Amino acid sequence: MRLHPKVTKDEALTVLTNQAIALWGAEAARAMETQLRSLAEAMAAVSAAEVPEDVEPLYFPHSAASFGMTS
Amino acid sequence: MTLTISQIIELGVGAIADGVAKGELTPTDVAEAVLSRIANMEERVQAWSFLDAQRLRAEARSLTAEAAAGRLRGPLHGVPVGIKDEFHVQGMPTGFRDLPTPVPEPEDATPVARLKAAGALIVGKTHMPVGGRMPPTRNPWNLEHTAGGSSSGSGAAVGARMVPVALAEQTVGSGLRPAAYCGVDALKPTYGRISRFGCYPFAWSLDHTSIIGLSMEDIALVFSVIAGPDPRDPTTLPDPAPPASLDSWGLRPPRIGIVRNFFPDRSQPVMREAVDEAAARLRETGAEVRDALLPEMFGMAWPAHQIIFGVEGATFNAHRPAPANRPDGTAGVGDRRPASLIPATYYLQAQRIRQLLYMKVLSNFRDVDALLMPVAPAPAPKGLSSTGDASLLGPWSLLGYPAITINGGLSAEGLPLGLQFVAAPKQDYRLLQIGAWCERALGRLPAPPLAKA
Repeated sequence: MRLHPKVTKDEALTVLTNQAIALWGAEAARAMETQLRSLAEAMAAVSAAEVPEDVEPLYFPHSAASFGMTS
Repeated sequence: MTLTISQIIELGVGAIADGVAKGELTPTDVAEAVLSRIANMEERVQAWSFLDAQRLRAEARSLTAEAAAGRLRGPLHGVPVGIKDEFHVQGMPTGFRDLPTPVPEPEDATPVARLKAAGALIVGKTHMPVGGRMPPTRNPWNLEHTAGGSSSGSGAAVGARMVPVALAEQTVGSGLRPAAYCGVDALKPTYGRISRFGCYPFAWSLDHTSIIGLSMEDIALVFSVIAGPDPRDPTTLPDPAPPASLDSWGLRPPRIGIVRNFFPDRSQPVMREAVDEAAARLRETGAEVRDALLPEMFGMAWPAHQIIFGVEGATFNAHRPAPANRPDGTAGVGDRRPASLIPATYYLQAQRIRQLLYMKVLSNFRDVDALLMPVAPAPAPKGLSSTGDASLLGPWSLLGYPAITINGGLSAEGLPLGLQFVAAPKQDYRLLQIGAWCERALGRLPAPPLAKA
């Protein structure tokens, strides 16, 4: 699934649902609908976030200290 | 000293340790008080997933003999502590592993080992949700309500005065929420301040070893014992543990920022009123109180947390079979398969958002020492099918900033209302001092009526 340009929650839900059906079958995918919908919303929000080019991932919160960012 | 069972536990960590050190109490007195209280209340509250009275008494006898010989292991000699099931305790099972046949753990988690080395009496393991199944734990303020979670048993055991302190863990809101629902205090420290070694994971980069106790002073004492670097957990910070004593009398009044965006919109009026009333009383007592606004981008904390939590949890639990669906046919919260579908690009973008938010929120602490907001949108909900709403706590687990809860009164229904204070990273000790200052101004809740017998 693309990250950019941003995805809508409906697009994300379609991709997630199709993957779930392919992996675990239609019945299991139906049972997961609430979780898939919630994830699709989160993915749409993350996809829409504007993150400056120089921002790297923060795997562990304390590692930000190495950038001199703690008070 | 002749004390009743209630009095011994209500003394708290510092006073119990002091009483043992002075020979006024023995660890055996303490262990018998704890066992008596548990025998009286456990059937109703159901805080404990594993208890071994024989083992507890044997350990208490050893500690008593050592104290009588003038040998104290450390600052917690004879202090009873509950351990959230998630932490390994040598010789006790970790139910959170969800094995068909539980097995005793071969060694202690680092925080447990440090508690033992300081002389603490490990009482047993406390309940938490396992495999998506909710624990049987009830709120000591109203048995029809949840005690919160996932540190359900730890919150209820301290709330019901079965023990004065317990280990907890917070990945979303699992440490502060049960403490707040049960009317007691808690600390979720800066990420990396307390080792996670031997803590069975939810999500590696979000898991915080936390402490639930009766007061900020008690929590500070335990924090001084278990915090600090651990070579077995490479994510721990290099800073040594802070002092045991808060030494908070005579401190300058704190500067408090009441968060006016994101959190009020997610809270019911009863919680907003509790925050405003607390703020007014803190101002009257001398605190500098002002409004605070989090950065506009703060709303991204929730989806970023959800993505990171989902991916890390799905990865760790990939070997587990999917749990059965709920009775209504929908997948349970323990089913990690949906989150395993999240692409790596989204996980990394969520981690970049985390970095950006971490930097932006620091600016909120230029002119305040701590931010104030509710712990939860509402008091503990009725029923045991859920452990309540963790949404007001997740952002601080994402960012790794330290957070505490102290009580902000009771609802009209008699349920505790928890306040949450957050400080800048690594300001844990100052945050505990602020908590102690505010607690003196606002007052602590007494034991719930159930625990006064």
